[in-house]
Amino acid sequence: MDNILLDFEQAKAKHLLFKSRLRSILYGMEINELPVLSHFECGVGKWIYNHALTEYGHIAEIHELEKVHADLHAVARDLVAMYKTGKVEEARSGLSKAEAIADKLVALLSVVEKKVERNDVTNSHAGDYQSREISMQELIDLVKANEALDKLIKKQNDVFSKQRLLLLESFMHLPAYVSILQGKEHRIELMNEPAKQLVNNKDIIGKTVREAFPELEGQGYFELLDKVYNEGEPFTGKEMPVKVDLGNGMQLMYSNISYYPLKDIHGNAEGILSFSYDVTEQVLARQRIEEAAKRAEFITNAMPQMVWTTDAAGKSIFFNENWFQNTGKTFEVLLAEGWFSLIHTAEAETFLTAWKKSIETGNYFAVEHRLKMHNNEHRWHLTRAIPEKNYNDEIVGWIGTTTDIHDLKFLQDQLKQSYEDLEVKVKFRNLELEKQNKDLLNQLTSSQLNNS
Amino acid sequence: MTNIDLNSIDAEHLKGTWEVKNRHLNNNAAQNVFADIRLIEIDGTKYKSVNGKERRGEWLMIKEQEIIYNPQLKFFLDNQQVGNAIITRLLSDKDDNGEVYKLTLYFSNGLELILHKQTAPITA
Repeated sequence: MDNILLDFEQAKAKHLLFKSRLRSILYGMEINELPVLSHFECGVGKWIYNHALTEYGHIAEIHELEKVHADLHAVARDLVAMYKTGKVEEARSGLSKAEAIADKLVALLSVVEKKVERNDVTNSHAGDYQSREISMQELIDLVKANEALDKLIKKQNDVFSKQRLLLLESFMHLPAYVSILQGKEHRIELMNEPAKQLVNNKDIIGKTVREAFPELEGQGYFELLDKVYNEGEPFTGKEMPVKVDLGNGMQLMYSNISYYPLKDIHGNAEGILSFSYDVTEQVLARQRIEEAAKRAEFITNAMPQMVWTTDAAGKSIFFNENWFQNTGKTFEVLLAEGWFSLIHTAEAETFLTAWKKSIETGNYFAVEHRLKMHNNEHRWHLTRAIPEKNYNDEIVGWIGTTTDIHDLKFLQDQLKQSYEDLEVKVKFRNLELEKQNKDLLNQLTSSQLNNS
Repeated sequence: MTNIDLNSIDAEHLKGTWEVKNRHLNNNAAQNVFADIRLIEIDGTKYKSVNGKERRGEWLMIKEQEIIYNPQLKFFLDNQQVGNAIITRLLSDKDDNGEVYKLTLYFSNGLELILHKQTAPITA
């Protein structure tokens, strides 16, 4: 009878050794893995296949016990494989599954033990076999190993807890709106401080997003959350407009949004981690800049002059509509060929020399020149440019206008001609008057001579 | 239109029928025999002015550059000088209809005539 007790107690002790080894592997201790991976090489396996099946094969439960034992090792193999592929937490979580099978194994061991006791079925060699397999010293070593492992696990758990606390702390104070939504109804489980402040600390924990933010209906956000939850794929959206009531009436906000699906160790959807950043100010500022740019473009297109801009080095960037209408060239052609090629060759050198000097010195630029128009006519233009400077007084580009002065130039020429003509006319008239005067004097002199 | 250098103007430039396009008159100028002409035909040393009735006479061009640079035209009728003018401008331009000339004559009594002449295009 004592031998039978010892037989089964030893088997249970061997099982304890298995569990301890499995835990050791999953917590990073370097030990012989073979007794854990193979159900033939562990203590209980050796006991089953070398002893128990022979001695207690007539008891039905011993065969079930053999099967459960094999299952237990199969689970152990999976967990070790998971651990080795980096799924540490998942592997450790699986220990509970191994525990459940192990409990079943122990229960079966007890059943077989009782049946053996009742039937007084024993074997005189059992005690010898068991004593060969495990000694008291081994049991002491096992207890010590377990104590060491418990310390290691506790230490690791402490580190892990600290890390989790740190992570939670960071999470709660991230400069973004962070929340965790649970379940397919997206129930709000957790919100960080900025998220709480955003909703004016309204108590919405435990509510679904549909209950907490009914105004989002029809804006597509509920559907997005459903999709992320059902399909398990994250979603990222930039500058997404949302009309929301945060306690001050409906307002339009723009956010960069990320929804990450949360899954359990088996990959099943559990919830969603929501990150969002308020980018309303940036979007509105950019919209203002874009509107200002549009306004500037509208104004330049409304101007009668041809307007152009360049970078600091004088490379063309922008031409207003008048350029295309007056020269018949497209933006691409003007960029590729350079509009300077349209300047009349007689003024080209003067123009380019002055322009180069302005680029070098930053001085105001103004040159009169003829420009080839869409009908190949050369018309006089006045091109002026001023440097555009940044806050550091550095030239960042040039803004120029090219104004048609052809008619003015013509009038100036005519005026000049008129002055020249007037001068010659006066001279001509004076000559004629002098001649007439001389003729009159001659006549008078002749008359006086005749009279005398 | 292109200005023709005054110094290069010769009888060939003036040859042809000129139509009066514009005229500037003053009190003295109204007395000028050319004040009311509509056309003037110039050919060689002869001219014919038309203002309803025709007047035929002679003309000559004087060029000197010491006193006045512009070519001077003197018009005679029955051996009497009836007009003394300078050429202030002679402009030319080409178009599909040939060559167009614009001649500005300023007479010593203040009359100014602006004359146009059209030459036929050169055909092959």
